[in-house]
Amino acid sequence: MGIQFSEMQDLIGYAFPGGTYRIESWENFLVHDVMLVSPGKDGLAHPLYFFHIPVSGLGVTIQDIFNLCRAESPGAVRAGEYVWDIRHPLREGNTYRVAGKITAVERKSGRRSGLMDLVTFDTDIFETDTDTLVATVSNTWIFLRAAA
Amino acid sequence: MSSTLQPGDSLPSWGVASVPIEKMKLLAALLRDPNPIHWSHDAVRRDGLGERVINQGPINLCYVTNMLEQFAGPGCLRHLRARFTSNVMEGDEIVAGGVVTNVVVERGTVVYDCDVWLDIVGGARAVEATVRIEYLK
Repeated sequence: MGIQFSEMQDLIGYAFPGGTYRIESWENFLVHDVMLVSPGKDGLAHPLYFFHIPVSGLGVTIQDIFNLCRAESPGAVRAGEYVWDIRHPLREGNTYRVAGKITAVERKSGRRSGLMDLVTFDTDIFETDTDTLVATVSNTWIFLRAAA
Repeated sequence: MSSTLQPGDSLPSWGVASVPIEKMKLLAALLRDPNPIHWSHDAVRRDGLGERVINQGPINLCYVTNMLEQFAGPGCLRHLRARFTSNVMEGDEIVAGGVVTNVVVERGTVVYDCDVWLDIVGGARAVEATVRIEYLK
């Protein structure tokens, strides 16, 4: 028995625990290394953190999200649409507070990938020192369904 | 310094000759990403996804932000809407590019709207996005 769409729709409004995330200099160096570029001397974090912080700062792991959204396997998850609104760039050494929830679930059927659930997570990222909203991030993950 | 690009002008491209599996493994470790299609050849074969491991979507997208920051400077990104249209595999040659669609000056800063993308050389388009960037150089 596959995952019923009504079960997935029940996730809409689910609020994550939330939490904080500090961008360490060593990690920012490694993220730049992943991206094949060198970090600047200005302490700016790589934009990849706009994916990293909305997960790591929410108080969950990627595996937790897989479990919550009932991924059939880790290999049955794909990246969907990302929407980032950025008021200020992220900086290493800063600690950010993250609040987020699931705002949309959609079921689609694709020609190549078959049945899939699109789950959208909206997160707000605040700088903790000033409680300033730094960015709003909406990332949609695709969960492939072999049978539903 | 100011930029003189106009609507219709191309952004300077940014590319990678061969997407490395080592960086996929490093990011998987940093993100605690359990998805084995980014680091296990057995997993991609088992899932019928071919013989090569698959680059993470955020890396593909951020090849595009590398291209933008090369042009406009670090911290230039103000808005992004992106979707992923094809997988990028280890060993693929990729190139990020874009074209200016609108230019305005806000408080003395040049702001560009652009259509941007990531292409696999000899293959499909992997990422399509619209962005707004400030020119910070």
